[in-house]
Amino acid sequence: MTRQEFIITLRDGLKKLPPEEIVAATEFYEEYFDEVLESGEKTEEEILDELGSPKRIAAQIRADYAARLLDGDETLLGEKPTTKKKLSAAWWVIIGIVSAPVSIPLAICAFWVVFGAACAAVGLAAGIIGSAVAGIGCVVFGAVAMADAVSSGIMITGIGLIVLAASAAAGVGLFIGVRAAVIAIAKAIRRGREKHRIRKLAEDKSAKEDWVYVNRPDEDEEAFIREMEAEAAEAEAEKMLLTGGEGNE
Amino acid sequence: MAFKIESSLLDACALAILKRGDTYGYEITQEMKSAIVISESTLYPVLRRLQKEGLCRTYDQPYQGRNRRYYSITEKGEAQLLEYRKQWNDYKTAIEKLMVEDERGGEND
Repeated sequence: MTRQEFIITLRDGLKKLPPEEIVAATEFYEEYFDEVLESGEKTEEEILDELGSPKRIAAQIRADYAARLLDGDETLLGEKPTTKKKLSAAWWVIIGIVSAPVSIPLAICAFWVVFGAACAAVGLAAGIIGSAVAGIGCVVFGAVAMADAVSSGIMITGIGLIVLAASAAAGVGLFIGVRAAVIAIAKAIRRGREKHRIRKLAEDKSAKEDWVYVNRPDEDEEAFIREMEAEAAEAEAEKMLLTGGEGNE
Repeated sequence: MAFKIESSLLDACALAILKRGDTYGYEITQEMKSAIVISESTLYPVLRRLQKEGLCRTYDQPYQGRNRRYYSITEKGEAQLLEYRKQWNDYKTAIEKLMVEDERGGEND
């Protein structure tokens, strides 16, 4: 690995953090390289060896950022997740598993309801376009017919205009309805994603609490990170069961 | 070293170094390493945390055609350091009392 690869990997590991954090971290390590190289004490290779895996460094920075976030030093997230909230999330999972025989058919139903609504919208749209075409037809036919029979021609043109106006109104209504439905669904999805993000940050924080602040032999970085993550998740689950949702720390 | 170093102790050490005067990342690392076993990558989160909590601030100064980021302790940082020093003293005394008890007990008997 070269210095450049180190920085790129580090930045990649931090890409979910705000740009300001990424810049601060990369600047710090760039400066660190400059300082040590200028002091002439170590070569680039030796520095890289000492620093260890940039993935692990990124994980540590993420964990620390998450801890700061959850301690309320930054107000990036609208709400602070508490143990209580995490507990209720865990309960939802349990309830979800237990209620699978009911909830899966319900989910299938929900899918078909949405699908049906979409079909209805498409059908309505087709109907509206059809009647609009018929309206235009009436107007054209009426105009032609006026040459032979004035009163009938005027009547047919009038009917055509009424049909056109009605289908235009129905089209606008349909458009507004579909738009509202799409926005509502997008919002629900976004809210779900945000909750997931908060939960991830909470996991990062507990990983940080278990972090050992000493040098570790760099045998297998990937395995070390995985082990830390697994331990953190386990500790979190245990804590939730033990505290029963009371108190955060 | 047999003892784990807690993040608050690292914060305290970093603040104590900054209290002696403004300095830059590499120098802080070197000073920390002269006292405790600490990996290079541990210091960055410490400094970032202190900065975000308003215990220190940074400024850049040109040095050999690039920027060197200096860290400077704030008033809030000095107050925090004072508190850390007090707590460290209590902690140190309590632990020492436990660790040295045996010898003193032996002398008295």
